[in-house]
Amino acid sequence: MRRHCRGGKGWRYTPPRPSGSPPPARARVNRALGVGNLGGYGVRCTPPRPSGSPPSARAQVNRALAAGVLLAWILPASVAAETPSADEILRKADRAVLGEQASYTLKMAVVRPGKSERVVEMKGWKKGATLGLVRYTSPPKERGTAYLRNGDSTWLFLPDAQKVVRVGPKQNFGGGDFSNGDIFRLSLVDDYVPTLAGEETTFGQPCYSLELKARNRSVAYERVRYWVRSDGTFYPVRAEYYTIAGRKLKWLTLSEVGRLGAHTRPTLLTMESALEEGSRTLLRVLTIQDDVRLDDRLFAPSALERE
Amino acid sequence: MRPGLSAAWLLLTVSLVCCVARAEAGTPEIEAGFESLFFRTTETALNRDNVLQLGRDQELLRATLAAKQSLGPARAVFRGFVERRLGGAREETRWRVRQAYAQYAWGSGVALRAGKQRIAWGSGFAWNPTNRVEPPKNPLNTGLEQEGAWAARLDWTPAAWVGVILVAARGETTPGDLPFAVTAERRRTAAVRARFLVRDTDLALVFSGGKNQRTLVGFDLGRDVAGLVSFHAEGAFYRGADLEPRRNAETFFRLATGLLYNHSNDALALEYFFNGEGYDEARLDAYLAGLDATYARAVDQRLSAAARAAALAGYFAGASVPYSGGLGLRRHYLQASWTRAGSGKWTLAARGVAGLADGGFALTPGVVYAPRGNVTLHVDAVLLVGPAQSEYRLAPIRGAVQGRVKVMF
Repeated sequence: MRRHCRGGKGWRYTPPRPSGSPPPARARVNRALGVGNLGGYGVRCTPPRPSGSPPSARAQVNRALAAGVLLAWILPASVAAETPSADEILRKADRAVLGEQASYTLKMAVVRPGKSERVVEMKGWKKGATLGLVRYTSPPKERGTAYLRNGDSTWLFLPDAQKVVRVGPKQNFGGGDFSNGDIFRLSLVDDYVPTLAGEETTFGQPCYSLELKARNRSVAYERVRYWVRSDGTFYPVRAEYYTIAGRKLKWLTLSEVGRLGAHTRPTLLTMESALEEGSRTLLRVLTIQDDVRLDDRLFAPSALERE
Repeated sequence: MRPGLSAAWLLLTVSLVCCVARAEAGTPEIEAGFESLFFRTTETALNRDNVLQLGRDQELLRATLAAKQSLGPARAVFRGFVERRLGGAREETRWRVRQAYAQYAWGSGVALRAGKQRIAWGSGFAWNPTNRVEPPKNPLNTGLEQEGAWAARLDWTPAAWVGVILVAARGETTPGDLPFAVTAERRRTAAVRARFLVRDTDLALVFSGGKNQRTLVGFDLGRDVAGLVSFHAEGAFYRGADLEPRRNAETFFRLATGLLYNHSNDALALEYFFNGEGYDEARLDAYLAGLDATYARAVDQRLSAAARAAALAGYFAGASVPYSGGLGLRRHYLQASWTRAGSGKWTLAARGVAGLADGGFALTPGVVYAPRGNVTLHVDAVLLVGPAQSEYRLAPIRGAVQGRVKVMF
């Protein structure tokens, strides 16, 4: 028996899944994320079969015939239906490293050719897409330095001068290759318009390839190429950052996926400069606590002034 | 309560908080160091016949100690030094407390701090016209550690976009780190500062006043420009001048406005300062003529000893004018600084202040060397150049070398 359902942009037919076979990858991901069939080209519909009533042989033949006849136009549509939208990929990638609220510790190493490596440890907090705070905890000479993000504004607290200085998102973070915008880029979805450029393998991982275009000039980069794993994890794998003139500035690699806190995620972020060969900054996530409840006032600029 | 007694009482309180905090808290942050502030001095209109009794070379040699201990919402901080003044007629040893306070915070919303402390508000890099609570920064070397004021301070943060600070303070009006004594009056100040974040723009409003204190209304603005440059403007209106003559019926305006650009390992800052009560040429001539006349009376043997002593005290007071709470003698200044912080052990800095009204320059090149993560060595030179009547050449200091070593534990 052939079943059709109407919805989205066309008609779809979904053959039943053989009993005992694993669900398709996308369904597994959707189930894991607790969502239904999101996005895609159309809507699939499989009416429930009464439990305990096996399909008849005729029904099975009819179903096989239908599958064969419709294969030519079902297949491309199915592939499209399996691919989430660029917005959805970006939204899930946003949440793949840090959740809605989190506290974490980081170790940052700044590598410059011919110079000694500079290592800084930090403790950070984030809340939603607009609030972030990072404090240096080590080495002692940098202890107390803090960066705060609230909305589109960023401030730097200098403990020796006991001064809060406003800094821009394009200015570099802690003397490394990350910009303040990279560290506190709490929502790519808010900052960029994404386009799905295709799927390709990056660092041995099947990935969605996204083109991101800045929504406004205050965003750190005009254009970003972004690769996100297409295996259902939506872990970001790589990002390339470009100027308005199309010149590549630097690229980011996210690697060493491991379990931290309640989730598995990339734990090493490496930003390499395209302008200075050999210059790179490594940001290793040491700990993450995902289930924290943070007061908005922790992220008030006036709170920095009393440090 | 006498000032010395209250200081001792507060120190005792801070020490007790530290001791209690030690019992349960994490590792205390301790910092020990040495400072050498070496000055080459000279005779100028502010130091006729070396009346300040300065040696050609003066040095302030200091051993510094700082400690910070946190215990949950409580915190105690101490910063101070023992100083030996070398060179000149008066060699002496003294100790100073830069900061000694205890703080308690109720969540992220309310914090109360009492003791000697930096208030440190205002977005200006070298000048802070809205901050009349504590001694002003030294614009020639803003890297030097500032001394705080004895104060009680309440911080209230009702939301992430607004914060209010109430301060009741008393303190001297002179900057530290000078090789000679300066006549100064003590101030008592009450101040309130409300800070807002509106459409990604910092806005602060300040009101302050008190005994020996001008009533002031100020503002502070800060904003990013295209994500690369940050802009600030800090200004204040007040009635009556800090500099002599006091001109109590006049309203004055001061403004510090500038830009900060930070790219890769370089930071470039530029700030313009308008000092509305600063002397024009005629006022400067009158000021210097008054100093000359007062000094002439101080050394006039035909006058009685009492009259000469009174005149000498008047001369000292007049010579202290550039340092006694004013932010500068003249009206227009420009400060520029460039810092290159490599990821290695060295940081280079070049700073300069130009007196736009008189052509004087103060240049402050410096270097920071950090051989280890817990050791820093700062060396700054201060060179004062310009026409003979320019502000920086009137100072009884020709130049300085300021070295500081800090070891942190």
